[in-house]
Amino acid sequence: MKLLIAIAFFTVISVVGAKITFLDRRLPLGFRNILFTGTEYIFIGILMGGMGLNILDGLTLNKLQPFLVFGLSWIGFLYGVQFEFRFMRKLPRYYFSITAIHGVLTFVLVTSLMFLAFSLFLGYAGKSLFIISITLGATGACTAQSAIAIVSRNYRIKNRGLLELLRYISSVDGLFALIFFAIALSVVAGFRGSSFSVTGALIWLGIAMITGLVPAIILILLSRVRFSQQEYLVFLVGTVMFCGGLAHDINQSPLISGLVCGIIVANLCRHRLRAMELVVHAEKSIYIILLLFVGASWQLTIDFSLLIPLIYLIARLIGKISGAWVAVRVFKPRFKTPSGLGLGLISEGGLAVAIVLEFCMFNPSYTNLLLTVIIISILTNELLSPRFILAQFGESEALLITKTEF
Amino acid sequence: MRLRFMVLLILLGSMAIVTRTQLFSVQEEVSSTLVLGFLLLAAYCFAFFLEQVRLPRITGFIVGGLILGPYVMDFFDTKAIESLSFLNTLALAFIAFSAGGELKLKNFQNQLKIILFLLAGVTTVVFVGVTTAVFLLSSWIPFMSGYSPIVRIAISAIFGVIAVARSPSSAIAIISETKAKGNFTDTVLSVTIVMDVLIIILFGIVISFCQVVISAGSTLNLTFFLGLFFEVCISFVIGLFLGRAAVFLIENVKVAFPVVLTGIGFLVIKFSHLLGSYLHDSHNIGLNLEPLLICMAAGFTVQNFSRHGATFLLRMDRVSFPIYIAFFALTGASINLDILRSGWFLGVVIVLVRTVMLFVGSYASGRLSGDRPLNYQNTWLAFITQAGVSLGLLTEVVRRFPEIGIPIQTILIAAITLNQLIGPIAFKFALNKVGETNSKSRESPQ
Repeated sequence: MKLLIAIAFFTVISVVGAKITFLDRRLPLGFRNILFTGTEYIFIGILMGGMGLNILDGLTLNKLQPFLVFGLSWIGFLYGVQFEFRFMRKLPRYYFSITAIHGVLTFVLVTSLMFLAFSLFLGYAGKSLFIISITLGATGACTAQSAIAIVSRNYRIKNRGLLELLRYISSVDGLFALIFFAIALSVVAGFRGSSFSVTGALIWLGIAMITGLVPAIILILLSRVRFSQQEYLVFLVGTVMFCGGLAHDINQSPLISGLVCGIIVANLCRHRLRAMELVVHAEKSIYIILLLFVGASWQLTIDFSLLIPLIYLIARLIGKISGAWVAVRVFKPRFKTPSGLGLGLISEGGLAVAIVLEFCMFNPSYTNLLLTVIIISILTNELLSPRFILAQFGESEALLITKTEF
Repeated sequence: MRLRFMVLLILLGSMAIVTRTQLFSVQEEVSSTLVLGFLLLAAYCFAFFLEQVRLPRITGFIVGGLILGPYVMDFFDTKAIESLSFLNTLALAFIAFSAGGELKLKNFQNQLKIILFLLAGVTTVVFVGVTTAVFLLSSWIPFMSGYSPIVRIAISAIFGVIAVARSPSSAIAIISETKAKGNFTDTVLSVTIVMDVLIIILFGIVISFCQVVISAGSTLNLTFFLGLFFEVCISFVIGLFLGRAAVFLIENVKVAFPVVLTGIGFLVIKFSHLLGSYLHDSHNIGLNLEPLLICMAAGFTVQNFSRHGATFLLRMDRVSFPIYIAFFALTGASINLDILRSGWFLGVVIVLVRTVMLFVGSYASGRLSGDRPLNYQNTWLAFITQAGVSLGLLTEVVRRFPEIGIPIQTILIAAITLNQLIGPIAFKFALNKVGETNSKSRESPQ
């Protein structure tokens, strides 16, 4: 019965939600950051989950795992399919370099500080300390695009170059996060008891590539002959599902396999644009499902571990500011860049949520801790980030678009 | 063809590595995500191959599911199929909405005489014919031979009533695939859908007769029939309201309504079952709403009592393909070959008798109603397919008569399986023969 309600609930909320969320509606700025950016679905999830009505309890969520696997694979694919190298070459190369430096530094700082925090405050050690710190390092390196979208939708920005750079970083930095996450997972796979095997880690990475490559080949072969729009929908849904299921069943990452599959399709498939169009079409619905999962799976416990989200927030803030600061000093853009550029990149969402959910799927004992960190971080950052982004442009450079213009 | 073959080989190879080798550390069970993705792609390839020899796609989906499933290649077990059973419910809701949407009052009125003749003629001839044949054979059927003639007639009537059932889902899938249009198509679809409603009433009557004859102490009472009539009426009324809600969705909430409608249909089906069980268990009230009728009535309302009929069908059709693949491939995978092996002989006999009766019934009805000769000579081919409804009715037979229910189920599942394999091929052949298919139905890429 609960499963039945859950399926119907997920279906209706994700489809209807995709239409009413992320809209160009004008609301007071703080309110707008929570509503219509998707964050509200975390609250709906909490309401339906163990801390609320308990309709989406642990058992039901477990039965809904196939949806989660599919969603993760879809997000990975969506992310990968945007990396068409020919297209990326058209943008200034230093954009990529700035993004890389910012991403790597943020990752290193967040991972290091979380490593310290977990070992000092929670007494973690060994493999679990390593993997949980790296996972949070990876989520910390991601930037969500929602806050930048809110600002650019509501303000006329004079410094277009800076806005374009912020958009670029928020779209691309997740790639580094996923690479770090994949390396971390491979390192964990390389541990055999107390010893570490490099070959084991490399084999894991190789298999991750293959589980992305095989479905990509299937999609490419299927779309080489005449097909209808309906058939292509089957190819795409079937491929992403097969990719996620294959990865999950051999203890690989659906997110990483989806990413590999997407990158290959983006660069080798003749119908990459059609694929992109279709995956983007369902992006919001799938993102909403992930947020509902996050909210419903969360069980807040008031104890010492609540320090961890606070440390994560600070670590991420330091990482973002210093990462962006170093990056723009090394590769000087042709437009004015503020010294606190990193403050404009603190928004967190989509990919970070996917990384955490995937980690929790394979390591359920860390679910509460990681969800507490990510939920508090998303809420705080979504509230603050539009103000911080505006601050980067300065009041004279960002003019509020009036109601009539809007 | 070569590329699709390569895809199938890659899929089979990947599944073989995951399920048959110890190369990777794998999860205990094959996940439903993998099974569904695999089935969607592999069943599509099977359908593509069969399409090259002019067989309908749904035969390919069913055959694909059967070959890949637990009884042949065994890439996944029955547990995996069970975990995907919610998809069947979703697909049934979708198909029922579409079926109702296909029922256009204008076409129905134009063909009313032919439809009524076919409904009455085919139902009577098939029911009487199959019942008689089974009764005549009953002395040689082990589980029936020990009963008195009246009980044997009652049991034979169960075979007869199940033989009357058709498969609207298969009919709609074939029509959607061939983009068939015309009088023949409209007539066949209308008869199939209306028959889906009538069979529920007919089954109720036959089953209560059997209960009186087989179970000592039972009596045939009028309240049972009134209850049945009430159930159908209330289901239809709920369907009309649901249809108005669907119209509201289309007009005011600009959402992907096929998905939302299917979700609502899924809830209607599940809640109808739950409500039936609850009322029966807690209050001893035997009210069973007919969820498929509710969804059909909703689709019918959108088609005939709103201005969104055409949009409704078009948008439902856009998302239909993956739903049909999943539904029919899972149907194929659920075919129990062990049962087919044990009941195949009687199954074949019933299929043959039913087919002959379908021909006699539809030929006579068509001729008497003044239909085109080309139509009435081919109508029987369109009525062969059987699936979901028949299987659902069989479950009810087993529930009510546990002793004789199992052998009846075994024989009839064999017959239904054969009909499900032959039926789509025959229907496509008939549509081609009357010239109502659209051969240019496939789009080209970009």
